[in-house]
Amino acid sequence: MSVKLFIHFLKIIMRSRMEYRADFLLGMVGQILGYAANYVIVWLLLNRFTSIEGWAWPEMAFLISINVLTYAIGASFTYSPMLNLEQLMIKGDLDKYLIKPIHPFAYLIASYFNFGYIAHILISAVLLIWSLGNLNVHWGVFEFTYFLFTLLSGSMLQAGGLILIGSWSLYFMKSQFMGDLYFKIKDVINYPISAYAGVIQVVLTWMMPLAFINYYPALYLLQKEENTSLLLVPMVGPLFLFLTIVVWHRGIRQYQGAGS
Amino acid sequence: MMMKAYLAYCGKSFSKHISYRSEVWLRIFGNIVIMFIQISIWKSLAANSNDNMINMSEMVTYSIITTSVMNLLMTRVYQTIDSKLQSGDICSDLQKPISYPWYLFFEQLGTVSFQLLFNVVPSILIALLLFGVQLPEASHIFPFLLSLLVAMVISFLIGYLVALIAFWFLTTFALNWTLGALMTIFSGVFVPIWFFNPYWAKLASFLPFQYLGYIPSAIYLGKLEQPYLILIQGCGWIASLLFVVNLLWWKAIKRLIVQGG
Repeated sequence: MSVKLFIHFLKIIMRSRMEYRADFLLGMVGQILGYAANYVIVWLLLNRFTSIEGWAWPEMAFLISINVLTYAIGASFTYSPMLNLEQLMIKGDLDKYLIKPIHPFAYLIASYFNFGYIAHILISAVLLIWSLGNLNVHWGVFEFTYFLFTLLSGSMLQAGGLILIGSWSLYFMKSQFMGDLYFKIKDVINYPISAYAGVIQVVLTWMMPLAFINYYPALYLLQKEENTSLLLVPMVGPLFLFLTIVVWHRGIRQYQGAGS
Repeated sequence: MMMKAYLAYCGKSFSKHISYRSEVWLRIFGNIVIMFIQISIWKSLAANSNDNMINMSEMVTYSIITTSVMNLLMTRVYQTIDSKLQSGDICSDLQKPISYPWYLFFEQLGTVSFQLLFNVVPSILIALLLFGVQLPEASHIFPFLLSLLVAMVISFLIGYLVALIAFWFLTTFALNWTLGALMTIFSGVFVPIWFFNPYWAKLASFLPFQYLGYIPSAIYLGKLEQPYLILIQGCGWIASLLFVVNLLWWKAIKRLIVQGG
């Protein structure tokens, strides 16, 4: 799919979204409140206890903001297509995406692009910038480049996680509860993973590599750990995304229709 | 006579959930994950704070209770109404010779009974093995059970209020997020209100959300000096919410717009 065609899709989606402008704005306000509450609760906690695992409030705000921001970017692309896949299969609408002369995966992603994450991006960006101003870290060109690449890599990890949920429905027809479960689990990385038992840290690093979204990049950027292997962190996202797309394609190849 | 019809709705919604049994394990797992996160954070905080501000066995129990109570709340009643507003099904519901709010309440009761049996009880048993729970003093048991009842009724009324406001907005999306925000902070589901700073603690004490998690847990742990007084205040909240809800109901029903249907 060409970039031009992709942008054409986005224009159409934007136009239909703006039909309900008041709804859209009201929804944004609600979402900002929802995420603000997550920050407030951590702030209240740190008001009392000053730090979690040696992470003070600005550092915690930094950690949480990277999680929310990368999620917003990743989910804009993959949330709607992947979470709607189950319904598409049940109704037999998925076949439509398979028989057009466009690459099915790209077609699906483009036609379900979600503009609804503007609120997430707003609040996380504001807190991210605020936290950077209140952190005592020196940032050169290298750190800044590293930061941008970790955001990119984090977004890919978040997008990939959602692709795996979509793939689950290709193999097993149902994925709703996997989605629900994922949303309960994914906020574990709002806290430094060193707070969890060793086994969980291993799981979050090697099995469900959520810790690469924000924890490991933050370790390096906030100069909490001198470890050159942390420089490899931005490679994890692209690798993970590639693997999840392969899994998705394998799923689609053995997809037989839901018999509808 | 009437009661029989309501109980039938209650049973119907209970058995509807039975047919989605496969999700039960994932729900239990989800509960354990939430408890695990909270308990890990408290452990870490307790290990790093120099004075004895955190009583670990207390916090473990607190987390298990609030997480469990969350599964017994009826705030989600607005989702039922929302989908019926969207589909137009609400018309046939309103024509039935039953009181609509009571019908909704009993439907929720069926859901909650299912959650209690297949979600909360197993979650608590597993949590008992994994984390351990402090047993309550005998004198706390009765007010604790009462507080659960108050929690359910207040949560139902709040959910119902949201649904009624949706008659004006025609969507619950924004309200859903706002309610989530208020619950996250003021129900004390993670951070108990006794750890809030004075300003926020004051704010929390002026809102009904504290009854949806904090108060039951605090009563269980014997943290409240006069639990019965607090519960009477909870009944005050129930009365005021009932008043508002009834007022809105009469206004809402007059301007009911069914979209397409």
